Amino acid sequence: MADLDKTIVKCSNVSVFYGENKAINDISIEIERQSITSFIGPSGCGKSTFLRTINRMNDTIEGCHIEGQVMVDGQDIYAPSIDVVPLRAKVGMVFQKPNPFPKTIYENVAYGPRIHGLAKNKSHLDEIVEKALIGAGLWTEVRDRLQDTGTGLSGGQQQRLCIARAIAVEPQIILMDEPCSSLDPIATSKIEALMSELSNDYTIIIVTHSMQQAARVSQKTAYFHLGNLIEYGDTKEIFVRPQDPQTEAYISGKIG
Amino acid sequence: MPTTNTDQLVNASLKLRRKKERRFKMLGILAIALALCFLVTLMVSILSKGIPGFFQYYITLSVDLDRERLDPIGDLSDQSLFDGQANKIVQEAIFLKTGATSRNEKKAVRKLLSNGSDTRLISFVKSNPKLLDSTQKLKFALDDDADSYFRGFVKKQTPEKQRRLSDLQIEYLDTMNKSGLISYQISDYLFFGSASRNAEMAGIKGAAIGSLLTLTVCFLISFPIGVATAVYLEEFAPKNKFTELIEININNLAAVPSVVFGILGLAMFINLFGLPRSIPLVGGMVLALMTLPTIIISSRAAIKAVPPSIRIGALGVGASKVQATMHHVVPLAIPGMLTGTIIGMAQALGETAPLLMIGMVAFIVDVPGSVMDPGTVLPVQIFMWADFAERMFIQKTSSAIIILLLFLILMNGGAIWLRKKLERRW
Repeated sequence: MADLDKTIVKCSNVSVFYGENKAINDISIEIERQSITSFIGPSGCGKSTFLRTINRMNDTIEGCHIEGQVMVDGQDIYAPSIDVVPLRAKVGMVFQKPNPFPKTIYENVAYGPRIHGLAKNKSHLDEIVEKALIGAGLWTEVRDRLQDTGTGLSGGQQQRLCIARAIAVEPQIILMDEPCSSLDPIATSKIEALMSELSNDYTIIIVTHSMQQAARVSQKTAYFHLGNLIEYGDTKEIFVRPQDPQTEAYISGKIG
Repeated sequence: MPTTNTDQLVNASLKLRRKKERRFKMLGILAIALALCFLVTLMVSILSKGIPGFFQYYITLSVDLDRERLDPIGDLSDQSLFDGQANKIVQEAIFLKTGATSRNEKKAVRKLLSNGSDTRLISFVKSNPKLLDSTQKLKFALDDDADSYFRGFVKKQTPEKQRRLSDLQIEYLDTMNKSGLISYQISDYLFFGSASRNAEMAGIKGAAIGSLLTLTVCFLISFPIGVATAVYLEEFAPKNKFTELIEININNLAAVPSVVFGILGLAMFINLFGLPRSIPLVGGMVLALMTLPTIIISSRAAIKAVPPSIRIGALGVGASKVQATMHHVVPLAIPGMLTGTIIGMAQALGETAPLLMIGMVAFIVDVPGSVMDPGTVLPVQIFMWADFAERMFIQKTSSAIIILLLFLILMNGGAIWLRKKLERRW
């Protein structure tokens, strides 16, 4: 059972279709607990689509269906008995563009715990919010203005607010879909540092366009191309000694 | 590398382009100027007729409030006051002022006074019973013909046979005016009177309350149904042939002439359900049918304008579809929905045709007390007044139009204020 414990996400022969169009082709992958795994690949290779199968975010897209099996924490998340609400509480998500709710900073973070009934009372909720904001490295910047609107923060702060919102419900996995693509380098480095810190408690899966970012933050890297998983392994290995010629071509900048 | 030749060609074409731009600009300004012209003409015409309609001529009479004669039973009940001699008392007061003694003179003078003078005296006594058995100076409205004389619509030069006032009556009016008995002041009848065949007594109170009741019914029906429909269609409904059909139908319904909704209301609510005619409840329901497509379309637009990232953000932390919609999408869409609703309501406020179909055009003197009492509405009242020949009704029509326009401006202003207040940026 030690092996099962180490693996938190196990995908077997997963294919995703948008209508007739096959976007993901028969992918099997295992992702380790409390590590950072990055998905890289050229645009349209299906890495974001694949990321969204892990918390069933693809359900919201009309005409999208999936074949194969996705196990999260030993549970088949596409089994008919599964409710997406607790699943998404367990598998949080941070999106490409910071999308705080147009409410106060406090309300943004408190929303998740509130709908899931995690707080016993007001002061407990305050604690959860504080803890999440500290966890997202935002507490010192916003502690005096929790009642200001979240959309008034800078882009990097907004993205950290979204991370705080995600970790406030204490998920096991955080999916990040190009979380730094709309941020400047300073904000990006803050988020990267935060990710390393968060990986002590959470499993992080990140989709990124920046190979440097993947090399900097992740322990494991998966390279996707045209809906196929080309190569998956330790980040160091992939970047130093890619096994597949396609991976090598991408990493060395010949395609992409 | 551009040659001098290209430069020359570009410069030559510039002239033509600038000319075109100038022409386009001129046309735009011309169109706006023309529209403004029409607007100014309309406003001047309505205001010049309507503002005098807010005033009317009153005559001040010393009335002897004899308790015995006014209140024969002595309990100030409607019956007792009705049995009393209010009418006679007012007439005696004006006979005294004019010195009319013969039968002919009395008849001429009596006609100068509004028919509603006895009712006016009775309501004064009712609200001031302590003043009984004293002599009070009270103001009574002049008959609309006498009123028109002071406004200059009835001219002395016109031969007696061709005008509605006799020489004798004009003489009396002139004498009373000289002795300062006649005053020109804000018309209380216009605001507190109801439908009346007598122009000087006609007012908008009944119609205004009818409009209020009708609109309340309309709002209570159309807002919840409209918003719920929009939310369901936009957020939950599967996209298939059937929902597409519904969508097309809603869009088409918005373009259906309002009188058709009136016929539908007549057939459904009155003939099928057996509801009474002329009541604000049916009027409100008919207007709700008419307003629904407007509300649904604008609510859907408001929901569509909420960025998908907000929905995804909510779903991402584990909100259910209903929670994401109710906690985030609907609150953000509310300003847009309210704006659409208020505009729909303003449209309903000005609607006449469908209400004619369900009989809200009836001549009803009583102010409706509930949605089940027969009544009429402002635009229908305007429509009815515009039909009457008396000169004073023309002014009252314009006055009522001004009041209706004021309500519309208020509602649209409210819509803008609400939108500004509730609107949030993301």
